[in-house]
Amino acid sequence: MAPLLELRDVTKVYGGGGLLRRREPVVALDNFSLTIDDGRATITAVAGESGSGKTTLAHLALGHVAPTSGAVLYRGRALDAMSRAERLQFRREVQPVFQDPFAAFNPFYRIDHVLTMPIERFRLAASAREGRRLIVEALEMVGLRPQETLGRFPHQLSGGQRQRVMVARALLCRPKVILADEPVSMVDASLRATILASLQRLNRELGISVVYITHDLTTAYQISDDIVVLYRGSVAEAGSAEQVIQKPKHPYTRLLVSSIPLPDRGRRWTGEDLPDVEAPAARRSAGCKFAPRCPAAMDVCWAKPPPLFRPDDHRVASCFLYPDSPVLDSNDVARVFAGAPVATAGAAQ
Amino acid sequence: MSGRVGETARQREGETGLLSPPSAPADAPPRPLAPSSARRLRGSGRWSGSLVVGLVILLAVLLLSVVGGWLVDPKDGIVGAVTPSQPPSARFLLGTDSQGRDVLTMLVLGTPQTIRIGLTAGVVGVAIGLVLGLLSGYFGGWFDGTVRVLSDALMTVPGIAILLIIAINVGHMTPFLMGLTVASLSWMYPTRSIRAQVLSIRERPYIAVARANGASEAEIVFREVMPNLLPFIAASFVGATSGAMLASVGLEALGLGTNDVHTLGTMIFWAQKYSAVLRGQWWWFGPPIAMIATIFIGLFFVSAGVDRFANPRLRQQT
Amino acid sequence: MRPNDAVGPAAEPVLQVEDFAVYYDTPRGPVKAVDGVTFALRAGERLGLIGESGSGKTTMGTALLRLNRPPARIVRGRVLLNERDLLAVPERELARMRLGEIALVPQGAMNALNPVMRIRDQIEDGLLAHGQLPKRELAERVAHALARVGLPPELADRYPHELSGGQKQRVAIAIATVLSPRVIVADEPTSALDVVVQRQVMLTLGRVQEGLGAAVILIGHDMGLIAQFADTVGVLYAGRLVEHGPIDDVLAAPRHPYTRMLVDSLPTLEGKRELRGIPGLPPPLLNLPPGCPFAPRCPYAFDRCVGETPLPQVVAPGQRVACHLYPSHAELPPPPAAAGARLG
Repeated sequence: MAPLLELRDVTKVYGGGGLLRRREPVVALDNFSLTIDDGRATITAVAGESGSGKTTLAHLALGHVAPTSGAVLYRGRALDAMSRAERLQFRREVQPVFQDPFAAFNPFYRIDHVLTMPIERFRLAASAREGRRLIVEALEMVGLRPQETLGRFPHQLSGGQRQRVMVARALLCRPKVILADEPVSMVDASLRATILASLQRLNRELGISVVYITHDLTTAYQISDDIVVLYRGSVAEAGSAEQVIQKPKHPYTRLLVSSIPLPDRGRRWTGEDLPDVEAPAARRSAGCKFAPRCPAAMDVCWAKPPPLFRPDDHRVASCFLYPDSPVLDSNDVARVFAGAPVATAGAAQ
Repeated sequence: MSGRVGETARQREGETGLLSPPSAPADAPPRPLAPSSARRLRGSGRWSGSLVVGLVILLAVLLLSVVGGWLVDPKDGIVGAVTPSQPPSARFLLGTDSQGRDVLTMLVLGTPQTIRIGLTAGVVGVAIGLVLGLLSGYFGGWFDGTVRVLSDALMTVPGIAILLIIAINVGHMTPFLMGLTVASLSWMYPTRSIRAQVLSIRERPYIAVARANGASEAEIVFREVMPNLLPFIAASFVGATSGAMLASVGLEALGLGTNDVHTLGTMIFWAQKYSAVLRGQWWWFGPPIAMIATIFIGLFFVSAGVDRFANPRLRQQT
Repeated sequence: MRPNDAVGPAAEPVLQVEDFAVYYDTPRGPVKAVDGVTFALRAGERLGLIGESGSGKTTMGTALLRLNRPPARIVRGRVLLNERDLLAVPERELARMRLGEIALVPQGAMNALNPVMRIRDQIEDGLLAHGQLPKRELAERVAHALARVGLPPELADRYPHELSGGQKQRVAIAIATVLSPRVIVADEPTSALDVVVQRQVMLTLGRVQEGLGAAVILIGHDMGLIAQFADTVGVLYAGRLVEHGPIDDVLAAPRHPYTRMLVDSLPTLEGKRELRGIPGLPPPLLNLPPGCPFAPRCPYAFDRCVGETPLPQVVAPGQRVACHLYPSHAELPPPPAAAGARLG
């Protein structure tokens, strides 16, 4: 299974220099690895709160910024070493859907502009008529009526419609991977399901892999096969979405899951003492980043960063609560994803 | 209206249930389409009161110059052509100056010249500003650093000093050269203003979307960034033009203007030189001042209304 | 309209909203953002008002305290706070009632803090507007207000930019509750916050409210948040209250088709299932045709729905629905088959 999109030991650091005052550098993403394979279309969620590094991950995967160290590879080629033709192919095959449905459109043009541009640039159609047909097909696939959408300006459509046009734009390019960065957080609740369902449909019917970046664990659970939970740039837990969310093992994941406001009167929030996740840490940790807030922190947690322990076949957790579990032999969390082959006994023990 | 209201009306809204096949186009009353470009240009709140008033004023000034240009005899503007120091009368509608020149003739001939100077500087200033602002804002780097240092430094130097030095050294001043002189200091503000806007636009998601659509960087700069700069270009242009006009009038009033061509500024110079104020010859210094003020008021109104014209989003009331 | 039929202790409502309507005056006609909303709030009750875009919930929050600005205009209605109508009292008395008896935690409250004033000054601002106090007592009240929201007293001398998002939000709650109001209106107080901080802030709000014995109106779009926090829920659609009742009952057995479809569209952790949204769009509030505003999207709609606007009616103690299916039905029937069964 050849890797399609690969982030290899990627670290991204921002800041760290100012003319008059040295600014504290921020490690947005810390030695992170992930592979999306060709041939197996999955939906992978990358979940985290603000400061987790998930937005940085999106920028890196799309080639908008270069990593400080490590590499981002597409079909085995590093992004900054690609030829022009390779670059164009990368652009076409890895498509984004952004969070803000309004700002994603150039207000100067009608919405048709974002749909006709890829057809021209990527030469997706042999004639204008075929191009038009592709556009109509893409719009219908996301549940929009072309005659009521085409020809309009962005401000004449609702947020939900605009976001669907963006999904249509992405699928028009016949991509291999769609990177959806918080695609429904600015859309009404009743419309979210429709848009997410269309992403699922693209995955199942057209074989497009989706990387779903979000802070909403419930929707991540509903549509994803696998999930990566980030905390301050590092992987807290990763693996099959079913396991990680239903039976979280990392204290941070547990905290997140228990804080989800579920519309379920059977599962109420408790008022137990929550760690103040925002207050600056009294002590800096040389080890696990979550130690200052962790209810289960031990001495070792402060001393050295935990590796990716593998307490289950399809899950890793970077937490010293599982010291007897084997350690994943690489830091590519995709190894433990739901569809990934499990190593036979004796191999990585 | 009977029957399955829920079913057909739902389709009416332009959305189908995702997993149901798209239904046949309508029995439903269609939603209004976006209006055609001609209608767009005419209606929908583009033309704010300010813009109309401003354009009317400027048009009137232009008309005065053009029509007046046909009606007056330029020879009446030469020294000694007519009886000097006459107050306004039926023959000399704005009177004559102490040099024996008809004020109305000078006004009619001078107004377009002043405007021309302003426009020259405005066009040059904005053109430079657009190129520098666009390139330095979008690409950054050492180019940006250099442009910024240069424009910031020049903005803080007292402009009149530079202009004086340049003007003194111009051998034979013509309106075009005057235009270039004041243009030398009219490019900084447009550069900074456009650069700031480009920096902001550069971060917008639609730029990233254009990239995802396969657009090259050049295409992004011209097709995505530039159209959104139109309101700023227009505003900078009006600002640069008015600033340049004022600067040129200033230089001319000091005597550094053209010798043989009438402009509003040279009229003021001559009036001041021959003590028109002390002698109560209001018809000599009054009209050029009034004309300058009128042009400025017109430009002001236009600049207030031009943003709404170029920016589709601002047109909606609520 | 009769207010909510309340049963049980403390039945006397502390806030009664009757036929409240707020329109926006536009060149093309009035936009009826809030159109005849009626409900009552008991002391200590937590009401969640849920609505999506175009439901009018954002207008409602500010208009209840007469903080709306043109082109928004209160067209009719009464808002009775302890028998005094907020919409009719003179400005001076209204200013006294605001903060003193009814307070607003506005949307984006963290951005509503003045960036150049210390926290202390901002809390004192509210106190001083309601009467002069000696310096020492002011300082005590400030410390007490901060303690009530779980913030250390040292925070009083900081500036807003030195605080985190959740801390700023809690300061906003502290400012709103410094004079122990009877009613707190919280308009999407946690919209920009991370989920753990959101929980912290909501629990803080709950503690403060219980401590004061105050009633809360929580306005938002997150049914999950309302389910976790509120006792009663009011569902807003196109400026109208289409369902109102205890949260347990409404969630377990929604009566209005919109509520049903809204609840069905919510993702849960119960197990993976097919996601379904509500097809169609909310209606534009300009020139809304007569009849039920949800009719175009409603799978149950029939003739009467198009011509006649349904009025809220009591279907069970404490529960009201505005839908023509009632009272002839006891509860919401299963959705009609796609081919469209006609309902009488």
